[in-house]
Amino acid sequence: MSKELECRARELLAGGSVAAVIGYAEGAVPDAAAPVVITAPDEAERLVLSPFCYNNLAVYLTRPEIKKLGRVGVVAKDADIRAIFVLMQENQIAREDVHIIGVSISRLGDPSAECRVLPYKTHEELLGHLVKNVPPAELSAIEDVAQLEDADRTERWAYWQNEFSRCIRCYACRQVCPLCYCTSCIAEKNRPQWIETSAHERGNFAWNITRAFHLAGRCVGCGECERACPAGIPLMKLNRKMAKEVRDNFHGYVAGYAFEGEALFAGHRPDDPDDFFE
Amino acid sequence: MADEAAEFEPKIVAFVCNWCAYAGADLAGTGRLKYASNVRVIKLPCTGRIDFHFILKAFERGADGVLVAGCHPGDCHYTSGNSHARRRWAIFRKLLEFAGVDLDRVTFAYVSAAEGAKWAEVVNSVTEKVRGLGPFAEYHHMNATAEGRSDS
Repeated sequence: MSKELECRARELLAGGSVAAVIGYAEGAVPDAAAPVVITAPDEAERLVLSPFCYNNLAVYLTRPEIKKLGRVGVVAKDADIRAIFVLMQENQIAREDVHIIGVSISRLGDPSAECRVLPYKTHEELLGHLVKNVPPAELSAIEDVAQLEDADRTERWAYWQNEFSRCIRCYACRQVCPLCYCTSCIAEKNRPQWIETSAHERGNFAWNITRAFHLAGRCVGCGECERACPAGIPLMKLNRKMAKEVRDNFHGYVAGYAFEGEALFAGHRPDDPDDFFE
Repeated sequence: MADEAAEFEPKIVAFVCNWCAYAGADLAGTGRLKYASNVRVIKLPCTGRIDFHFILKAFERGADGVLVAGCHPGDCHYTSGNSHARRRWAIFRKLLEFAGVDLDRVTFAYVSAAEGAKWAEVVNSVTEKVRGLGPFAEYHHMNATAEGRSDS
């Protein structure tokens, strides 16, 4: 329970500044929380903040059934705020259509932090909070990536072949990702078929490479894809590798620290690296 | 075994832009330049049109190497298609490398419409590079499995 959150949601809904609030409610089993959309002030008491609030709720913001509601409030952790910012930067949602209720979640075994609502109301304030508390540089602590980078090429190939071999092509990684918002995904296109749908080595390789690259320069590192993967494929390792390359190749670019301006692959600069060109 | 290696002729797919690299290749032909015949050229409007799926598909269809060639910076017929593409390739090649693909199998080159000789050089060097690596056995293995063939 969180009185603070309840009050904020009640206030927003009662004042009519949002049509709905997307948050977490008690899950169906103990020690669980599940996404919920509330539309009436009285429902605000259903909202919870607990160590079990995992989902990145930004994923719902691009859904047609949410968009048609108009302006909505959304409960968002640091990474989720970054995802919302990328959605704004890519013109998928309008700045004025979202009220972000920034929250901080303490995970089990982390008694130092408590679950609380951040005091910020505007996008600018939240951006300031991110820059100060989650400096972009910290996101690129990427030792597991370095370890694999240093491995022999054939080991890397074998490593990913083994990991991808468990992929059952359920696309849960795509469904939970707030930035995989295409209404028509290339994985489902079959004229021509760029990605084979069969869960064999070749189809799985094409799919997983595609997912990783389509998120390059956009992934905010929330980790939902890896959490949703029923096969336990270390998808974040690919995402972190992409984030690292983007940062190193493009002037320190880290996704999610701007809600306007040009997305990474929407632009170019004369001094972009081209030492790999003959 | 040594004989087999000597007989290996790499299959290379080249994705080229209509305005620079293709015209460069055309110039090489007009100028009667001789170069390796291992490259199959696929012409596209712009390097910006070359999706990374083209590269994967080339490997899926049995290519041992891929060459992507287009305009020099600033020369793009569509102003900046090549610059957008360059940004993507800088990252995509790193992903391939991370996944265990030898980057000597994927070459990027600037070839202008006036650079017939450079086109010939690039094709020759790519061919030699890939010949040295041998067949792309790992991808050929995936292809065989996917197509229900025994690995050759």
